[in-house]
Amino acid sequence: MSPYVVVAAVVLAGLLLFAAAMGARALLAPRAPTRAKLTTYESGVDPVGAGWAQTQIRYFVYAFLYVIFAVDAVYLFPWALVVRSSDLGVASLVEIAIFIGVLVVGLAHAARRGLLRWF
Amino acid sequence: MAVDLPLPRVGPATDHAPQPIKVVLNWGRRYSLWVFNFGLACCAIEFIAASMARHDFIRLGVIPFAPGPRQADLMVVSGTVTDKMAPAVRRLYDQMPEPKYVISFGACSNSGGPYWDSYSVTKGVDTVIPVDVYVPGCPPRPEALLQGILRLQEKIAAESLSTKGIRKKYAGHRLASAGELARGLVHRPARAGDPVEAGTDG
Amino acid sequence: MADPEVLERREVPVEEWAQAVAEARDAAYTFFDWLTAVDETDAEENPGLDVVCHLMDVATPTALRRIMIRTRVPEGAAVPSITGVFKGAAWHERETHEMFGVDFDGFDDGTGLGLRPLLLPDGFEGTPLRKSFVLAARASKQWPGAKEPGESEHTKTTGGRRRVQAPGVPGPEWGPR
Repeated sequence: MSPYVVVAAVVLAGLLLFAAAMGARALLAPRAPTRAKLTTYESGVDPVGAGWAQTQIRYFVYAFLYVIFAVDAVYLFPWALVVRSSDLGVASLVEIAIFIGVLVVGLAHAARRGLLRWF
Repeated sequence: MAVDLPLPRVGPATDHAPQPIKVVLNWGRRYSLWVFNFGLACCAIEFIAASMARHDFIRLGVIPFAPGPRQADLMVVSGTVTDKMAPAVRRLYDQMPEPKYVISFGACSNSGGPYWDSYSVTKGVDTVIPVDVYVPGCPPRPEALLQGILRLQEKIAAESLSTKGIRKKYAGHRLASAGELARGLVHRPARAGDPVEAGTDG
Repeated sequence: MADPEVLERREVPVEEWAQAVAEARDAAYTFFDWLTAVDETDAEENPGLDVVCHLMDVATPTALRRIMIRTRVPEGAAVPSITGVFKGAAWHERETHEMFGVDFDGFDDGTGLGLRPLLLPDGFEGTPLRKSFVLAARASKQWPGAKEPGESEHTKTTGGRRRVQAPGVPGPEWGPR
């Protein structure tokens, strides 16, 4: 129980710190908004064009591969450490095999599209 | 275009703060200046020299180099300000949040310097932005910049932020106009060859 | 650095300007260095503007050769543009046009926008590098130096406080000094 009390205390202290800082700012900070101050920063000149640049959709493959490998690793590491306790049996192996199988489907799709080729 | 921006003011606690609180706030403000280096010419090299190991100004709390005007509270204009650059200096000064300070570093930004009679030089950056400390020299030695920063810190220590003071800066100053608060931005008229703008703020 | 003796000079009349530059390019001077003008409107004979073009032969990096081609054009007359010979001359011609007021016939830099200012801010009036361009700042503040630009130990000082009038210095009718 007491570790959770510590966690709660830390979270509360963080919230209080944030609230104190924002409160101090609201009480103390000067404010002087002018039209020029609110313009978008573009090195001192008037901004040209819209405010956002759209990334091309074909770069989704990087996100895709990242999700496969990183999510894979994130769940495999704790699983590998937990399996050291011997009272789990084959069931945990089957569970992780299902998990990896789902990821392998995605990986196979990426391989079929030629995304894993280096050249 | 009607503009509904509020009048400048300081926070309610600053106006009525007792002297010890002001001392503490001024102490915090003057020893944590974030500098937006507006390096334009040779004086920028001296500014960089002042930031390097021998004459370090980081030990005075002046941490270089703020990535943009919005994270800065000190602007050091070092170098010749030309008439073409002056609107950019003004806009970047405008984009700095309050409270902000300006050090004019070098003869060219103090008064036009050796190029005071040129057709393209602004005769001193204080014709476009209000300056707090002038550091003379062509170029000034890095120690001169250190002294300028110390002088600015003394000025901040003696400062007392108030709503009246900040309104004076925006409405009573030689370089200020009520139009900054009441009027929208003035855009340049479109010309042939301009890129078509999809959507800009104004 | 190039040996200063290996500088060839050519003076051509205005009509042969573009042709002379093209000939120099065909004769191994393939590197266009710069093009600018010199204000000689106060010369005794043939007052006008000297348009100067500097080309280099960079075939042998250790033995550079240079040529300076010059033509004098009377005020108001146009010079044929050499953007057909060196595309990079476009910016030089724009700068010369805005600083000296020299017109370049046949200027084409591929954008179709014509001969327009390069460096000066929008709305700048005048051609600053001409001797007739007055530096207005001098009208309100006297030159603090000991010598005027252009004055040396060899110029005879007239008696009294009258100083040498360098080009660009406004006369007394401009204001207090």
